[in-house]
Amino acid sequence: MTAAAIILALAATTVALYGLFTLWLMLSAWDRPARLRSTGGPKAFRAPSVSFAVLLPAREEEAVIGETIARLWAANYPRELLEIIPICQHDDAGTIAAVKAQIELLGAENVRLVVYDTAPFNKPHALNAGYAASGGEAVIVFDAEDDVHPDIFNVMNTVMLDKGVGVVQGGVQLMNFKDHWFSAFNCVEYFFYFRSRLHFNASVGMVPLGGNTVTIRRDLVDRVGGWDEQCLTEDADIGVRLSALGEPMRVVYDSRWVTREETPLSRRALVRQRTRWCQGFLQILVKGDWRRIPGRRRRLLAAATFGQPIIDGLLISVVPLIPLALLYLKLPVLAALMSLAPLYVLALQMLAGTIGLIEFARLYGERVPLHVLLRTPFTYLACQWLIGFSALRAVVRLLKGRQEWEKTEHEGAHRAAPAVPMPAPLAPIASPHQPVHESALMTSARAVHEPAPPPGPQHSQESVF
Amino acid sequence: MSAATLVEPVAPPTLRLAPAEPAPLRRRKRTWWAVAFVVVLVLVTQGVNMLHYPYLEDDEGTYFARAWAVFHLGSLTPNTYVYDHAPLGWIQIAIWQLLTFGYRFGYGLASGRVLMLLYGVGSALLVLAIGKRSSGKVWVGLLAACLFSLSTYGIFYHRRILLDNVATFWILLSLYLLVGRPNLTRVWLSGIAIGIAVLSKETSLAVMPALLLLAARRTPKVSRLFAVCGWAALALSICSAYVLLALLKGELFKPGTLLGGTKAHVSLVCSIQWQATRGHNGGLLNPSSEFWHTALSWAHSEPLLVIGGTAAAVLAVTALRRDPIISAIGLAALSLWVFLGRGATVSAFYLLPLLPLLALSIALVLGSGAGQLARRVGRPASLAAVGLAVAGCALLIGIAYERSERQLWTGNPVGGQIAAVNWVRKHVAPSSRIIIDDYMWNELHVPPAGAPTFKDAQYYWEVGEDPKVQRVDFADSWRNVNYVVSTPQMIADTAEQNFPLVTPALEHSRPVAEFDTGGWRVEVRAVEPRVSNPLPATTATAQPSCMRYT
Repeated sequence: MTAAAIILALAATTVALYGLFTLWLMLSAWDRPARLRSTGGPKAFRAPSVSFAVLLPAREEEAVIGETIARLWAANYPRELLEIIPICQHDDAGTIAAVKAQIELLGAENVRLVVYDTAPFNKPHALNAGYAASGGEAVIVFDAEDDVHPDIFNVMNTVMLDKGVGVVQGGVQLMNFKDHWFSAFNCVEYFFYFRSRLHFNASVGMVPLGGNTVTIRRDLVDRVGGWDEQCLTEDADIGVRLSALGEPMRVVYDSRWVTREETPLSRRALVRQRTRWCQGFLQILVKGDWRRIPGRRRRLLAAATFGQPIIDGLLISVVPLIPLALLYLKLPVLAALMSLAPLYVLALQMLAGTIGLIEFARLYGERVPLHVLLRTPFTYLACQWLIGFSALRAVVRLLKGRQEWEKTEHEGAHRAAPAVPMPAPLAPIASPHQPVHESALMTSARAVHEPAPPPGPQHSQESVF
Repeated sequence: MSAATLVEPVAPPTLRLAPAEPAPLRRRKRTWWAVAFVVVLVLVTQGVNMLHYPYLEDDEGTYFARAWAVFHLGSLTPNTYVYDHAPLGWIQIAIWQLLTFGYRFGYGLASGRVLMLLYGVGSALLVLAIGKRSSGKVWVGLLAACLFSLSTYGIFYHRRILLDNVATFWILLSLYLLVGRPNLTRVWLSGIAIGIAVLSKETSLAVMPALLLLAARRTPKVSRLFAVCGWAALALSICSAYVLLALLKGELFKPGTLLGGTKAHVSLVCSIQWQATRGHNGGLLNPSSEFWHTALSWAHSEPLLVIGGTAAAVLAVTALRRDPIISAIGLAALSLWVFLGRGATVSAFYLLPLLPLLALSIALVLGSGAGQLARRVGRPASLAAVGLAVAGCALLIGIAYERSERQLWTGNPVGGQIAAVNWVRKHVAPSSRIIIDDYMWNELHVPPAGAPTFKDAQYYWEVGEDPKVQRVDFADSWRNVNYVVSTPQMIADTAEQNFPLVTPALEHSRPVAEFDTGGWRVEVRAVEPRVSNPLPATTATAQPSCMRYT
C-alpha cells in the first residue's frame, strides 16, 4: 500500500517533470526577443551560388504533382542552379503521366523524371534513387503536395553561405486549422515544433530532421550513405546520423517562407501518420545510431526524443488510472497531491496550445473563430489521446514486427480552399511569357500588372491560387 | 518578396563605441560595496540581540511547532489543522529544521529567529536589487534597502517567526524577477514565486494584480500572451494546491451541506467565510474602524514609511504612471492598503509585507524626482534636494526609534521566558497536565537532550477550542489541570474569549513561580480548587463549529 503510493507518486512526478520539459521545448524560442529573431530567416538574400537538386518523391500524387512542379520551376532562383527531380515507382502510371505532361507543358529542361523499379517502394528508396541521378552541390527534399515559397532557394542559399552550415531545415507549417476538430492542435503542434523545439535541438546539436524543406550538402549525404530504406522516419534518421558526424545544422522558421501543408484528411489518417512516426522513432531508438552522437547532453536529448512514443503511450494508459487510484486506493494526502501533478502539466500544455493557436493565427493574419477557441479543452484532450493511442499502436506494431508504410493521403485541401492565403507567387524571373500551367499562368499574368505584394501575411483573396 | 530583395549581403553594422572600460567596472564595484553594506546593516539591526528581544510570542511557537510536526508527525499541525493559514510558510521552516538537524542555537525557537534573519537579509538584498534595477542607480536601491532595514517597527517584527516575513521575501523575489530583463523564464519563475508567497501567507494575494500588470507591461508583444497567461497559470496552479489539499482530505466544504457530508469536520470554505466576516467593522470607509485605529498607531510608530511611503506610492501611480516598474510598486503598496482596509481583523504585524514596497516607493520617487531636477535645474540643486530628503528620512527614523521601547539591542524579556521553561523542567513532574502559552510548546515537547518531555502540555487556544484536546487530555474538566503557565497574552485572550477549561483553571490557580526580565511576565500557576480569583468578563464573537478543532 505504502509502496504503491510511493511508486505512483514518484512516477507521476517524473511524468510531470517530463511534461514541463516538453512544454519548455515548445516555448523556448519565445523566451527572449533576441532568440526569436535569431530563429527567423535572413534579413537580406545573398546572390545565388549554391546549386540545388530538388528531390520530389511522389506516389499516387497525380492530383497535385503537376502544380508542385510548376511552382518549383517558377521559383525565384536561376534555372541553371536548379534541378527538379520528381521520383516515381515504375507501376505508378498516373503520377508518371502527370509528371510527363507537366514537363511537356513547361518545356522545362531542368525537370527530370526518375523512375525506380525495385522494392522496397517507399520514400527513402525514392530519395536514394533520385539522389543517385542528381547533380547539384546540395539536395533539397520536398513532398509532392507541398506549397513551396518561391524564395525558399534564396533562403537556403543565404543561410548556407552566411552560417557555413551543410544542413538547413526550413519551416513546415500545416495551415488548414479550421477544417477538422483535430486540425487546430495539429497546426499548433507544427508551429511549436518548427518555430521552437527544433531550434532547441539545433542549439544542442541533435536534430531529428523533418520530412521536407530540408537541404543537405551532397558530400554529407555521401558520408552518411544516404537514406535508410528500412526506416519509417528516414528524415529523422538521417538527421541523427548527420548529428553523429558532429555536423552543425540550422533551423529557419519564418512565416514568409514556410512550406505549407495540410493536416491529414481524417482521424484515421492522422492515427496512421502518427503511428508511422512513432514507430519510426522507436526504430531509430532501437537501431542505436544516436549512441554515436558525440556529447552526453545530445545523446540524452536523443533518447528523450525517440523514446517519447513510449512515454506518450504510458501516459495515455496511466492518466485515466489516476482518478481511480484516488477514489479506491485511499492514498496518503501527499502522495495523492503528487499523483495529480501530471494533470496540472496537462492543463498548462493545453493553455500553451491555445495561446499558440492564437499566436499562430495572428502570425498568418487570421483570427481564430470563437467556437474553435471554446472547444479547445475538448479537442486538445482528444488530440492528446489520439497521439497517445497512436504511440501505443506503434509500440504494438513494432513488437509484432509489422514495418510496412501506411501512407498519408492528400487531396490538396490547402490549395483548393486554403485556410490562410499565401503571398502571391511572382512571375518567373527569366521570362514571364513562357507557357505555364494554367493556375501559374493566372498568377504570373497578375504579377506582371501589379506591383509585388509586400512580404508577410496577406488578407486579399485574390492572392490565393 | 520581390526579386529586388536579392541583394549583396550588407556589411555588418559597425559596433557602437563601447563606453570607456572603467565606468561599468566602477559601477559593479559600487554595487558589491552596496551589497556588503546592506548585509552588514541587516546583520546588525536585525541580528544583534535578536534572540533576546522582543519576547517570544505564542504565534512564533505555534508556527515552529507546526513546522516540527511536518517531518516528525507527518501532519501539518501537532493537533487538528483548521485551515487558519496556508501551510507553505511553516513547511519552509520545517525544511530549515531538517537542514540544520534541529540545532537549537541556544533555545528551540532561536533556530526560527535565525531563519528569519536569513529571510531578512534576502529581502533587504532584493529591495536593493529592485531599487537599483528599476532606476539604474545604486544609491536609489541602497536608500530603499536602508529605509527597509532601519525601520524600528520592521526590526521588531522581522525578528519574529512570522509567516508574513516568509511571504515578504517571496513577494520581493517575484517582483525582482519582473524587474530584470523580461524573458519568459523569469516571468514564469516570478509566477511560481508569487504562488509560494500566497501559500506562505494569503495576504500576498493583494499584490497579484499589480505584478500581473507589470508582467504585461514589461514583456514584448510577441511573447506577452505566453508570459502573462503563464504567470497567472503557474501562480494559480500553486495556489490551487491548497484547495486541492482540502478536497483530498475531505475538508473543503462545510459539514451539513450537499458536498460536505454530515460528519462534523473542519472546512476550508468555512474558514474563508469566517475570516472574511471576522471583526467586520467598515474598514477604510469607517473612520472609527479597527483598521484606522491600527493604521494610526502604525503612522505614529513608523511615520516615515507609513505616511511618507504611502504618499510616494500615490505619486508613483499618478505622476509616474508611465514608468511601469515604479507605478507597479506603488500600485502593489496601495492594493495591500486596500486589502488591509477591507474591514476584517487587522493585527499589529500586518504592515510587514507593505514595508519594502513603501521603502521602494520613497526611494524610487526620490530617484525619479532627482533625475528630473538634475535635467531641469542642474546637478547641484538635485544633489542638495536629495541630501535634504535623506536627512529628513534620517530624522523620521530617529523619531520612530524614540517613540519605541528603545530596547531593540538591549532588552531581554526572553531571558525570563527561558528561565520559566527551566523552572518547569526542574520543579514540575513530566506527567503533569499543563496549559501553556505556545512559546514553550517546543521546549516541553521537543526538549534538548537530558530534559524531560511534557506530553500533556497543551496550548491554551487548543484547550479552549479543540474538543478532542479537552476530551482526551483533560477529560472535559478543569479540575484535571495541574498547572497553567500564563503570559499577559494568555490572560488577555482568555478574558476575551472566556474559554472553557482555561478560564476556570486560571481562576482557580495561584502563582508558584514568576519570571519577568523585561515587560513580559510569565507565571507558573498551580491549579487548586479552593483558590478563586475571577477574571474580568468580556464578550467576544465565538468561532463557528466548523472552524473549531474536532
